[in-house]
Amino acid sequence: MVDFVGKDILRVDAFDKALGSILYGPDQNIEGALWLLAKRSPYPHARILSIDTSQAETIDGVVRIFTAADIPGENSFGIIPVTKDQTLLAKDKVRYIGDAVALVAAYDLKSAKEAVDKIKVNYEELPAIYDPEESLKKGRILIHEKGNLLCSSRIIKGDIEKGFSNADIIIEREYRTSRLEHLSLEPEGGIGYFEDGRIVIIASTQNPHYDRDDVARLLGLSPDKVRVIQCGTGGGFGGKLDISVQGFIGLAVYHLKRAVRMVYSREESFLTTAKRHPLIMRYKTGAKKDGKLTAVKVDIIGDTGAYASYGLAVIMRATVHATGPYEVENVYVDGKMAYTNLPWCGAMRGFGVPQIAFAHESQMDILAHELNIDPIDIRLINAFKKGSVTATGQRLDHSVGIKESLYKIKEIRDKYSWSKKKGERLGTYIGVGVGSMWYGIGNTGVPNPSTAQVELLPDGSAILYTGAAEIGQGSDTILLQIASQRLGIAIDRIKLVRGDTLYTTNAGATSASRQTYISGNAVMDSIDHLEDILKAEASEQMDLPSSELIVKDGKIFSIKDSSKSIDIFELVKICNKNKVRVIGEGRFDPPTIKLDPETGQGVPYATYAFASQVSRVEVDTFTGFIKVLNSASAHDVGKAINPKMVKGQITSGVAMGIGMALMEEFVPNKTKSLKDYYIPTSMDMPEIIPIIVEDKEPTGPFGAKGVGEPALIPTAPAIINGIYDAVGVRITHLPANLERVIGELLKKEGA
Amino acid sequence: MRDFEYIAPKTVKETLDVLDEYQEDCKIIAGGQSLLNILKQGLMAPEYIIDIKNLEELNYIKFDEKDGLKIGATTTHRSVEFSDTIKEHYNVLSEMERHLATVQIRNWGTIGGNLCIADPTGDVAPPLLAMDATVIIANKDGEREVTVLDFGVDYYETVVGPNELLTEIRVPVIPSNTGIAYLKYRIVEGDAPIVGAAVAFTLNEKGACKKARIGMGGVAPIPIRAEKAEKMFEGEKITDTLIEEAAKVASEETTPIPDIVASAEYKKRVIGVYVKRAAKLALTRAEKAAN
Amino acid sequence: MKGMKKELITLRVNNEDYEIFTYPNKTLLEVLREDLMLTGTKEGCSEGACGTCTVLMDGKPIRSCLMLAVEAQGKDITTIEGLSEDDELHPIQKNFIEQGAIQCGFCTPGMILTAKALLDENPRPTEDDIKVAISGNVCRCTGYAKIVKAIKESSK
Repeated sequence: MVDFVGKDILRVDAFDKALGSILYGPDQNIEGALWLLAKRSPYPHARILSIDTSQAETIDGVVRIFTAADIPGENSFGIIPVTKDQTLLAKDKVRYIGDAVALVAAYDLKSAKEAVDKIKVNYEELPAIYDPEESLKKGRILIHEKGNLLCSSRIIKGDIEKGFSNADIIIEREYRTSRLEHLSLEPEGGIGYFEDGRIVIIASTQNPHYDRDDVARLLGLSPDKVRVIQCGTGGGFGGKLDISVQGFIGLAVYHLKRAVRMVYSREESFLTTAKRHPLIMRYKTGAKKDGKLTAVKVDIIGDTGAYASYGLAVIMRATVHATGPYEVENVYVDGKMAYTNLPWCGAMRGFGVPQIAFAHESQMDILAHELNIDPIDIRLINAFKKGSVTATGQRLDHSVGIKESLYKIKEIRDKYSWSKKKGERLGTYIGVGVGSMWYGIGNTGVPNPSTAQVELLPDGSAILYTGAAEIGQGSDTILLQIASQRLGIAIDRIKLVRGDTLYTTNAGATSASRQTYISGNAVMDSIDHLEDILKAEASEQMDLPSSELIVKDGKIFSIKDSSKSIDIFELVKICNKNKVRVIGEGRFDPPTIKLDPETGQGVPYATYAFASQVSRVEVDTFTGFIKVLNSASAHDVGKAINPKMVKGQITSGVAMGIGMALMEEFVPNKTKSLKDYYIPTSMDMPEIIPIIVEDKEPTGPFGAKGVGEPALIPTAPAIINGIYDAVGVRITHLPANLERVIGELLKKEGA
Repeated sequence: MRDFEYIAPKTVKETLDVLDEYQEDCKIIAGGQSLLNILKQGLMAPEYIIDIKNLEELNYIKFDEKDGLKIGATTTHRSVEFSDTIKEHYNVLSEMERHLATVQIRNWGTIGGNLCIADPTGDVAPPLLAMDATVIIANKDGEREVTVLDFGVDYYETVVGPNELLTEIRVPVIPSNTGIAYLKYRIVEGDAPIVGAAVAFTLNEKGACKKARIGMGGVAPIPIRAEKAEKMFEGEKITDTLIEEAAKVASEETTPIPDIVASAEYKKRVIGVYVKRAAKLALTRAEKAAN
Repeated sequence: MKGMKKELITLRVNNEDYEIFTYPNKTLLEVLREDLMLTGTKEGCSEGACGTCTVLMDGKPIRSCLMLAVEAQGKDITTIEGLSEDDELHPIQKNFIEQGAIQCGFCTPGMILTAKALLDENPRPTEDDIKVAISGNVCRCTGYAKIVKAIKESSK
């Protein structure tokens, strides 16, 4: 009897990782592979008048130099189908510093670098726009022909004016966040070659099937002519969803029909891969004296940089989540995403929700203080429960663990008597802050199915085929646990075939915290189908109607007469002899309803994760230095398929949240390398108490939802609120770096 | 990195001859923990790299009661950190090394290299300034002694000439009744400090300040001493108020450069805080030494 | 100066001697990965700020991206590949697996080697000792808690 779900199974990929034998993108190599290197624009906005590669071509070791003219298909890609606005190699103009204009293929990296230096590009500089609000003003130069507004998103519910007139208190504030960098430790990299009439690309990625499709499109090929294999991927966090090296590799192999290799330097990764969208969020929140919210009005302006990437998804998510996990009758949210000539932004752990949560949780905190209500209580007063209706008009019928998560952190706070007080050293103060969040699992109101197959082999083992990319978050292990439990076969008897577009089908991207819920369900569905096949085959063998048969405990029984049975693997042997593969196909697409373009009403997600965090921080008023001392974070994950791994994610989310709250800021033109960008080290970590809340999601595999992004989201809010508790200073612009904290402290002193 | 020819001389004498031959065309590498990044970024492209790491002649830590401490230039940070001699007589240096960069960098990087690369935020210079340390610079024709105070010229530039080699760091005997502390401010562990302050107080028989030294890093193109602030202590009883006032003066003596990390005003504010904190710690240590 | 010449250097890596014909401006990291095909040591940033290039030199952790290969001659270098003997995992590797200290795995080789050097020097480190020792190895995935635990378990 197998019992794997809910157990702390050791990760299936840990062994190879501990040995150092797993090959990541930059580790891929083939004897004789040519090195690829891109030439990139030094200007933020310019027209390309001419590109002269003649001198560069004479460099010893250079094999070929490509420009836009060499792209056989559509020279435009983008992760969202309706906004494919990014060029692989710029044709007419460049839109940010780093935009690729040419690609060199050479025998070694040194020659490639020399060649890149010798390529002469004649630019006509254009005025550049660095501010999203500037960008949207009339008469500004157009970054893209269709205009500088990428898209907008609106949620309208109830009567906002009435909501405010009913309020006893109204809080209006503006919040801002910065561009952030994922900083996966593994830089982008991969190889490519030509085999069996196909272009084969082996690269680190979060979505091999999307890579295949957009590379095929770039090259004017049908998708079956491109094969993408996901190799070991050292972290993604949303930064490895857009294509990076894949497009270049595909182009070179298409023309040269030989092996090529490309690895981004850290500087290149900083400059040319997705960043987190900085958002300007203007909030107006109305509430009654007793703390009950009456109205929430939000105006969001996002800076998507030079290209769209996930801009559409981020602004939609931000608007959908803008109220926070709270019941509000009257809501008006307007979000706009603008282009600028800065490094482009895309998915990053949370897709706009970490930024929005920082804002809505600051508002809740201000309300709590103004109304003299305990910060956890004010959230309990407003929190969703079963039956609540969201701002998009969706009724939350099940799995709404927000209140439970609040009770859990209240328990911790009170148990350890965490409260505001003076620190031990002169000038330091300790404060306690709370942050809550909700996060919809899967893509917002659009189909995002996953597919999977499970095959039984005559020796009693099985194969799980999934396109779901493992990037460190643990999907390989989780999907195997689910398959194992459902099949009743030990986990080490199930082989995993994963992330190869030749052998697996599309599972959708590893993003939006969707793999456990959506791919997990696809796996379950494939096993349901497998059982149907077994019953059909058994029906033939046993000469009984399949409606009379059930699959149980390794056998197929007749419900009418249990002595009539056949061993499953005996049946598989027979089928295989007759050249029939026993393989079930599964698919799952979360049931959603597209949001109305005017009012945002609809069902954006089939399920939501909920969480709350309480953090204890110490503020040094002399230097502005902030240390997070303790963090307790409670997450409603529906069901923890692997509790140890869930706790690992929660801990990791606190770490990344500390970076987001206190130290991370990508400053265009200034942030060049890791030396300019601060991320937390082991010394910056607080004592963390990760807490699992299980409010089972009936539509989830064994009740599970997701935790990858939720893990991060409540952290920055809790820290910022903790700073306010400690020293009475509210940071409204993240990160709360030294200067901002000191600046606010000095302002307060002066006032 | 651009191309270069690699030379690893076997003795100091050989090194000085090579330096004399190539002068501006060459660069010395010891631990290379700073130099390699500079070479990778193409900020320097010497034709010859002279590797002195294996010169055992320059790898030593010596102490005697008369001449004080002598550290060979290629002694690694880690050796300084763990040296019992240094812990006993010059503990502030061991403390400084414990928090310098990361373990990996300390295992290979050298104390002489740190001084020579002359990063204004360097950790090594401020405590040396607070102890009136000197360095020995050698060339083919002989050697000269220069105070650490006079060692720096500008960012990443020292008085070491193109044909010269830093061979030794000398720290005089610490007078009795002295307390020294070095504290620095950084955002994350392992990162370069934003500012650092080293304070040394020597007390007289009456418990008042006989000598004060304040060395500061990260607040000017070179490591500096807060000489005006130092004078405020001389002959006076060191009180919290005096420390507070002197720290303000020290902060005013600085000319920090704004960068991606912090503005000039912020650095001025924080150096004041750190001079104060280092001073208080130094005073406690001096008082303990006096009793 | 004429064109840069390749030099023959001898490196002792994981108890084996290798003769490599390479340019003086190649870092130890490049030679390990490209000439010796030991890809367990990683290049996360090439400026000595992330720790994924950590290898042990005479038992001490160093940044192989900040060392020229020629400088490493005459030293004993240990990479992650040299830690396990004949498929038998080193206890630190076992504990990393058991404690859940590995997620994407990219920081793991450097982290494990740094841990080994710590435990060889200080067999009973406190949690604070461990945090200080690994402060030069960045991890973006785990939040460090399980890594510290795995190292603590390895000290028993």
